[in-house]
Amino acid sequence: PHVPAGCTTIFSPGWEVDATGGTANLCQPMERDLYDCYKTCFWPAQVPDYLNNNPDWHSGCASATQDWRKIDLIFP
Amino acid sequence: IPVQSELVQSACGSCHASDDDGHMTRISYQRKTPEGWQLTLKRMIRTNGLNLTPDQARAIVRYLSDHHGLAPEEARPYFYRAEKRPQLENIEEGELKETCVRCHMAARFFTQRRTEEEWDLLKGMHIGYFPVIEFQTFRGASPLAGDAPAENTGSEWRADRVLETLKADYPLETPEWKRYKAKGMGRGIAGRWLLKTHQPGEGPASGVVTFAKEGDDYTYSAEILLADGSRHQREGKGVLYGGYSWRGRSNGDGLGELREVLMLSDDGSKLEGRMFSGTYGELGLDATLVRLGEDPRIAAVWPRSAKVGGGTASVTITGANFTDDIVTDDLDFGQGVSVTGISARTATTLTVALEVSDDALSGYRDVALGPTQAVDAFAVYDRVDYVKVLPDEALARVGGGAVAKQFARFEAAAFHRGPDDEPLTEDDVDLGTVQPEWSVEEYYIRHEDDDIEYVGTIDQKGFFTPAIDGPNMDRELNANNFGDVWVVASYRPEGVSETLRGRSRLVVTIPIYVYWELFP
Amino acid sequence: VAPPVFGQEEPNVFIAGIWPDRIIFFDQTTDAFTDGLRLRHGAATGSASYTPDKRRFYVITDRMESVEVIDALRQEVIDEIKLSTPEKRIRFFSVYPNHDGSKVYLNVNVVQLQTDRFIQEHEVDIMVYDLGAREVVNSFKFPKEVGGGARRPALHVSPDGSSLYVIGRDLYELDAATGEIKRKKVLSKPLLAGYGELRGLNLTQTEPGTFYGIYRTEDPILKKRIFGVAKLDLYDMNVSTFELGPQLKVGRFALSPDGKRGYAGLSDMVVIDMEKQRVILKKEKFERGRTNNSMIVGHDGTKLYVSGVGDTVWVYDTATLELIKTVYAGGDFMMPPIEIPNPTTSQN
Repeated sequence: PHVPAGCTTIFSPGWEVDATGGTANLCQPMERDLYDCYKTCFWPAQVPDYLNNNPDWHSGCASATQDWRKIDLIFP
Repeated sequence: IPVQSELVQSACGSCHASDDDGHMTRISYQRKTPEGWQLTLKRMIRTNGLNLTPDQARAIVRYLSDHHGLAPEEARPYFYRAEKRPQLENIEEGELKETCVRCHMAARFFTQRRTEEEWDLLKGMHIGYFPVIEFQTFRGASPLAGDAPAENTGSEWRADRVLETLKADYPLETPEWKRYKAKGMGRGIAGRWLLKTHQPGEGPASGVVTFAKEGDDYTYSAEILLADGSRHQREGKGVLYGGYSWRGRSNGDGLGELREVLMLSDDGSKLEGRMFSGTYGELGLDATLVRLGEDPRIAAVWPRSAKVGGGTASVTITGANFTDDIVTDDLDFGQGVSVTGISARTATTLTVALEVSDDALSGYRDVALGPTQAVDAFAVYDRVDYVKVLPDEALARVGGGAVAKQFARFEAAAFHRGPDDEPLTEDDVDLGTVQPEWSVEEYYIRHEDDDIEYVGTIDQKGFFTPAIDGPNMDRELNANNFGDVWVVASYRPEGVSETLRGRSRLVVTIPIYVYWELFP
Repeated sequence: VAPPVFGQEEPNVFIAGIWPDRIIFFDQTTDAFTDGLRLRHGAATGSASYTPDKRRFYVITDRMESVEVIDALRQEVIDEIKLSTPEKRIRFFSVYPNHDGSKVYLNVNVVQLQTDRFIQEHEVDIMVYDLGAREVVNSFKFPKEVGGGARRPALHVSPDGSSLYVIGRDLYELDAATGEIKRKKVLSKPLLAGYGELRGLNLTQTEPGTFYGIYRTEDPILKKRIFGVAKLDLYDMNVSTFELGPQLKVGRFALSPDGKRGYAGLSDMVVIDMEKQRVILKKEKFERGRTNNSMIVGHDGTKLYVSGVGDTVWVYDTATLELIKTVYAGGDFMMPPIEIPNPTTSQN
């Protein structure tokens, strides 16, 4: 697929773009699926990884769709 | 590669055993870029309990980049990663792309050189941290177990096949590396340089930059001339890794705070790269510096084109070492263009009157000033054939709520079809930046797409500001404000009835929650 | 808030997990969640497996390094398993109990943590842990044909514990002690004249050993892509199917308690008359983007509970597929809801 640099298409769908290179099939909204894919490190390069580096990244907000403003950023 | 730094031996020796002639496990068997070593060091601090002061960390990255780094030829093809240039990475379809480039850029490992054992250990590291990767990409069988037959029912994974190519093409010892080690790190960059750059959507900028060695590093001061004619002072400092790879930071009004990533040419006469700002390094200027002697040097001519038979035209030549004794005869603009006068001059600018004859031929012109010659610095055209939007593909990220926005900046340039009389071919002639009317169009992936109502807005300077992040409660499915759109420039050259349009693809996507120094 | 009342005859309670580490129970009589218990080691990284009587649930936590055993009636974690040592990190992809929960089969990923490197060990896919003896009593590697695919296969332990069943592209019965293939039933190639192969089998266990699900196939005559319902009697490896027409975007399946209605979704959604074996209601674009992964028919057959991705349960009318209400779970699901029969009528 025609994927802008730094984007990943991994996996059903990708993070920034889906497998076709666009955003049409991304999770809608992303927050709804965030934790389901965070727990087994679907996108370790884009989302903090639960298994090793950031196991309590989500502790500030149990529901990403409601508390997305409290999702904090990681500066490795 | 033996490690001869006490700091590295002491800081890393507790886990990386050293043999009697200084070969430390893992470290002596890999070569990486400064960014590569920085990522590794941060991981050691984050997950393996290493603690260092910032100065120690910088010194370790410096030593490893200088002595366990890449040769210039090995680093140059993938310099775009260090430059944080938001460009497409063209990796051919195949197992390597399927296995590795689905998570991160290929440049991340194409800028590494390892022994065969070290490439195997890289696979071990991935599995140690992310066991699910075995099924995501390393085995390489179809993800839907029930859907298609597993391609490799053997024990050999796809990742093992990819590792064989990496072992063959990216070994630790290479001819380039040996040649570079033999030549040594060169004489550095102290002295005066002419900066040539371009402010997107505005025009050329230039300046005289003076580098001074300070210990192992460099500081510099610069006199900058911007496209709008304003002049500013800049101060900067940085490191020249491996004697050829500049990483710097500079500040000054006009261009503001910038980070700089430049690579020295093999003959030490030119520094090329990018100066950028923005949370993601997305707002960048391409920059070239050339060594400045006593002779006059031309940075740019602006405006950079004139119409055939257009009669008189006034252009400004920017550069350095312009002395007072320059006369019109010292200048040459090539066929069909005569220099009729110099109306204003400073040491870095010449305002020149030109006369374009009716029989002038369309095409580039070299502009000569005494001994110096600026290739393709000017152009003559019979008509503007099309407008091109740059970059031709861009990415922005929604933000402003939990995370920072990632902006996208566009500019438009007019083009002439060139000698082959065919537009959109290699030999087309760049007539210079124009000020078009900017708009956004839907990129219909589905008939019902409505992304342009949500993704954000573009101003009339070609600067795209993405919408806010987070779920949008008024959008179907509360989707985020992401989407795929076209950024369109509409431009009508004077004296022409038809409006020319050009467009570029813009993906407005969701934030990234891990702020790597670089792209992932 | 009082925990749901166990003890009615039909199953009316779901067990689920929400971030960061809470196990909660959903009561269909009130359509509300009640707090249950906290896991000991953080979030569950997958859906739970359970003993046939659904009294004990097994979830993987502690960043894939522990199994926690939940007693659904007493609503507490009653046991845990961890095999990692300072030199060796053993992570679990999935866990499967035998019929009485005395042993569990663990799909493992084993990595040696040497001072300056990771070394993966490939010798073993499955470790068998005896909860009484508190140790690994057996381990084996899957045959290439079973274990070489893109995903470690899900296992179903036979009632007497002597076999492990694998439902993948084909059906396998493995020897529970050695992992060798005892029996195989090919589904990925056409078996009967006039029929296509069974692909994309997506099964839900309605009772121990009985599975229903959606499959996709291609009719060998006109090469049309069609979908249908498959019923699998696992222990005797018998598959019966009926077709329903051109393929729709449906994968998940749920069966009504009386077995008369089947529901398949979720990008498109259909109601299936299981006796007449035909679609009787269709709703396209039922869900878009990434769809939910849990669909349960309520105990009185009138409500369909859809959830699993995000923090909400969508409750639909099973006759019209119209949305009745939504229920906020209090956090994003980390473990999709599973229906519990009422535990008090089961043994121990």
